[in-house]
Amino acid sequence: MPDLVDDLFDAVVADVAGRTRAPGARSAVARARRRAAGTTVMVVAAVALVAVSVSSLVRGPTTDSTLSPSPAGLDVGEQAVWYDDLGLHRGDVLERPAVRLSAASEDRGAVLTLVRTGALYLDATRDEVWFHPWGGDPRVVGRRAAHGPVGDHDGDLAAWFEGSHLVVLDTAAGRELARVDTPGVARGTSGDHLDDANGILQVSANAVVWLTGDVARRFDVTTKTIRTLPATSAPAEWTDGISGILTDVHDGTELWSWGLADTGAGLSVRRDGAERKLTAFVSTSGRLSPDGRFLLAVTRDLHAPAFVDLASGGIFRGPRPTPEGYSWIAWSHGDTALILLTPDVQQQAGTLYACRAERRRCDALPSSGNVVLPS
Amino acid sequence: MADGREHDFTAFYDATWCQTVACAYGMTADLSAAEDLAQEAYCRAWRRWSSLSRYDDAAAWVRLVATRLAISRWRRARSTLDFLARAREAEPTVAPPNEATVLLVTALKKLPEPQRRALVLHHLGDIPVAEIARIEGCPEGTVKGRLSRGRAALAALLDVAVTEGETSHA
Repeated sequence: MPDLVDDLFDAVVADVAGRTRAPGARSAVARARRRAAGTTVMVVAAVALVAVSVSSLVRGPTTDSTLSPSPAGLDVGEQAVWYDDLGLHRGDVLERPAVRLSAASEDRGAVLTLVRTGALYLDATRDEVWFHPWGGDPRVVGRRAAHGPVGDHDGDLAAWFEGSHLVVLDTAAGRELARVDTPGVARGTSGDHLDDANGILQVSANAVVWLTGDVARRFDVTTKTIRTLPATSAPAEWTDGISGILTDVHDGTELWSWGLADTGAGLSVRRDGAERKLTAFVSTSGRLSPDGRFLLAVTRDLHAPAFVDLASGGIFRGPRPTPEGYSWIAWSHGDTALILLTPDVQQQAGTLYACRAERRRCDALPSSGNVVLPS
Repeated sequence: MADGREHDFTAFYDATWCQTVACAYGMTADLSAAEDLAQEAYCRAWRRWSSLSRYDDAAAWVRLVATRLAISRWRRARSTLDFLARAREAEPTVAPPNEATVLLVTALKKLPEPQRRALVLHHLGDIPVAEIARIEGCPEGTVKGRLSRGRAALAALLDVAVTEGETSHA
């Protein structure tokens, strides 16, 4: 029987209905399209902003001459891994996965990840995690997983959550290293331009780090202990009162995001006690490379992929989407990144590129139909 | 001019806006914050509208997203809201909340977040217990416990009686 508490909840709905003013569906649609395409005004502004950004980033000289030419040719490299309608691609090798994958969604999160010796993916219809060793037979390694696994792309460990339990698997040894009940389960939402790896910030040989609300938790693989890390940062003067959110971690390197994309804020990189501000050049979407040497992000002007060499501060632009198009970014192995340019944000089919950050080179890849990038 | 797809989205938006805002409002206790989170949720809904429009309950999806945004990106959302608040300075102010709303959201803010989340998702978002359990990654019993304890705590804060078994209708 409803009681006064129920009445109060009903009253809140009625009260809010009487007071709220909807900005309108057209405004929501425009916001989505603006993110996908950028605006002419931003292009003009960003020309000046890039120069400011570069000067604050770079220890050595960086000029426009460091930006890459348009991508051309086919130089796949054996380490680019992606999934499309044909199957699971490992460079030129096509492997047949055990299940059909679909792109990340708000409900299921990212579904495909990598480890040194293979790929892991989620069967979203059965909540099963599969390990697909390169050249071998796929096998189920996890069940009742609400979201996809996340792997150490250049190592052997992978992790995912089964309910409140963090599961850590050594894919090379074929054994579960840990299954621990955690005080906070990773929470992820599909991000702009990249899949957010289901809230798991890092899987390495030493630790698994994930976001849970206002804190991050770090599971030490050796000691089997969990400690809490701050995942929010108080506003700094240069952030104009905006608080920061920990976005990615690679050992001692931290990537912080400041504000939503609409506010015009961006990213900063903290390492060795120093902070590099990237707010003038890139938007809030970015991810550190598996080896921690590069940042892959999206520029504020054209929402186009760009690489930042964290050692030198050098910036390397990737292929650009059309004005109406959208770009999806992901890291594969090592310094190899994948970039998918689609006609609009709704689509998962488009032109796929493999980019080698070290070489500052991007090459087109053959892809068929909808593409799923690794997280 | 809006095409058929955008027309359908607009109809969906208009029909579901108020409850989405109410859901976000239950988490934030700030109407302008709730409106911005709701708008962000609809922005994401539009990006997936081709598939989302086929969902049995697309409105629940949007309410979930709005609530998640309120939880996990609260500080970042605040920065946007500060920005929007500055932009809205010239706009007319909205009517103040009624007494019941003030009572409830004030009490909700005093609850542990898991309880508040469960209450908001269930009672303002109309999301079934089983679905909340799936979202939270915990057994249904845990969600029912949070709802029960949350309602009891709310009742104590509001000084009203609470009946037992109130989650069984989910």
